[in-house]
Amino acid sequence: MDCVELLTTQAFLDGELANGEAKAAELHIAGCAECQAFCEDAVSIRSDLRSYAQRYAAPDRVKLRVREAIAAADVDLAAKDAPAPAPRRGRLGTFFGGFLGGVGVSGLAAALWLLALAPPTPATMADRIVRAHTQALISGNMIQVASGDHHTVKPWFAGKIDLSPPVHDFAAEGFKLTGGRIDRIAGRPAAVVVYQHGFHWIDLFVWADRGEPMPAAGARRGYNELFWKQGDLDFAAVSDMQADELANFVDLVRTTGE
Amino acid sequence: MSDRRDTFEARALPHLDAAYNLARWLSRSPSDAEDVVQDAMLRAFRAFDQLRGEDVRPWLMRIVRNCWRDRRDRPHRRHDVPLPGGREGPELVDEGPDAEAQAMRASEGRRVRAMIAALPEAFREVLILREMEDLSYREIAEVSGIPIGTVMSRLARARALLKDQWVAEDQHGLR
Repeated sequence: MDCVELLTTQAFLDGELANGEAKAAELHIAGCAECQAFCEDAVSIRSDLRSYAQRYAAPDRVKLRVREAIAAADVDLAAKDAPAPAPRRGRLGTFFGGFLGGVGVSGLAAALWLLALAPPTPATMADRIVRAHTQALISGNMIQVASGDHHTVKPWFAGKIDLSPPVHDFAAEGFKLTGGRIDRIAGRPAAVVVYQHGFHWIDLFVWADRGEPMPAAGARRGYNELFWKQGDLDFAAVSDMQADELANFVDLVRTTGE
Repeated sequence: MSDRRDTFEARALPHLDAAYNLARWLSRSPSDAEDVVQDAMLRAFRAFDQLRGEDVRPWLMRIVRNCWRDRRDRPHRRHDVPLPGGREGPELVDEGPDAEAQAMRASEGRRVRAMIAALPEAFREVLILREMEDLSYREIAEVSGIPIGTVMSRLARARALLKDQWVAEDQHGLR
C-alpha cells in the first residue's frame, strides 16, 4: 500500500534533503498520487499543530523553582570543588614524585612547543577559535576585565599583549560591550573583546597578522564564525547567534575601525 | 553568583520553555511536567562540564526525555489522570470582537491537543520534537536515542495515525 519513496517524500517535506535529492523527490511527488496525498495531509497536520496546539510555556513558578534549585546545587558543587588538603607524602615519595612530575611537565611543554611551531591551517585555526570560545564559556573564564566602558577595557590590554584591539560599545545597536580577556590561539596570544547580544555571547578575537590565509566564514559545532584582516591585525568573530546577526555585528566593528 | 551558574543560566535557561513543552507533552500532566523540568535542569547543571561545543537545546531535550522516562517507570508512581486539552494550559485567546470565531478556535485547539495526546508516546515524542521544536532528524535521533531511520518511520507513523483519527472523527460528525 505504501509507496517505497514515502520516507524520502517525508524527508523532502521536513527540509532534510540537499538540493539534488530535493529535485529528485519533487519529480517523484509530481507523478505519485500517494505521495501527493501524504504531503497534503502532513501539511494540514503541521498547520493545525502550529495554529491550534500551541507550545506550553513554563509557568513562572517553574522558572522560579528551577533557578532556586540551581542556586542551591551551585553552592553544593562549589563546596565539592574547594581544594582538598594536600596528601601527605613521605620524604622518598616527595623525591620521586618531584622527579617524575618534572619529566611530565617538561614533556608536555615540549609537545606544546612543537604544536606551536607548526603553522595552523585555516581550518584548524577556525576550529581552535571555536574551541577557545567554548572553553572560555565552559570554564567560566570568559571575562578577565568586566566593563561596558571602552575607556576601561581598551587600556586593560596595554602591557598584557603587544597590540591594542579596537574596543567600542555597540549597546545602542544591540551588542553590549561586556569585557575582555587574553586567550591563546595556536600558541599565540590574542586579545578577546567580549560582547553580549541578548543571551548570546560574542567573542571578538584580535591577533597580530603574520600573512597567513584567513579561514572561510562558516558554522562549526553550532557556532558561527567570521574572519577578516584589517591593517596589520587579524580578526575572528564567533558566536552561537544567527549568521546574519553576526554579520551585522562584524559590519559595525569594521566600519567603526579604531 | 559563580561563573558556572552564570554561564549555565545564560546558555540553558533560554530553553526552559522548550524543555517544559516537551515534558508537558510527554507526561500529559502539568504537575509531572514541572517536576520533570526541575529534575532535568538540575541534572543538566551538574553535567554542564561535559557539554563541549555541542548545541545546548538537543542536549537539554535529551535530559528532559530521560528524566521523564525515569519518572514514568518508577514503580509506585501516582498516576495523574491526563488532561488531554483540558482546563489547564495557557489558552492564549485574546479578547477579540468576534466571540464566536474565538470559541470555535478554542474548541478546535482542544480537539487537536486531544488527538496528539492520544498518540502512543514514541510517536508523540518525535512529532513534538519535529513540528513544535523544529529539530532536525539528526537532533531528534540524538534526543530519543534512536537511529535516523527509526526517526523517519516513527514520524511517518505519527502522521498516518493523526490523519486516520481525523478521518474517523469527521465520519462521526464531530467536525
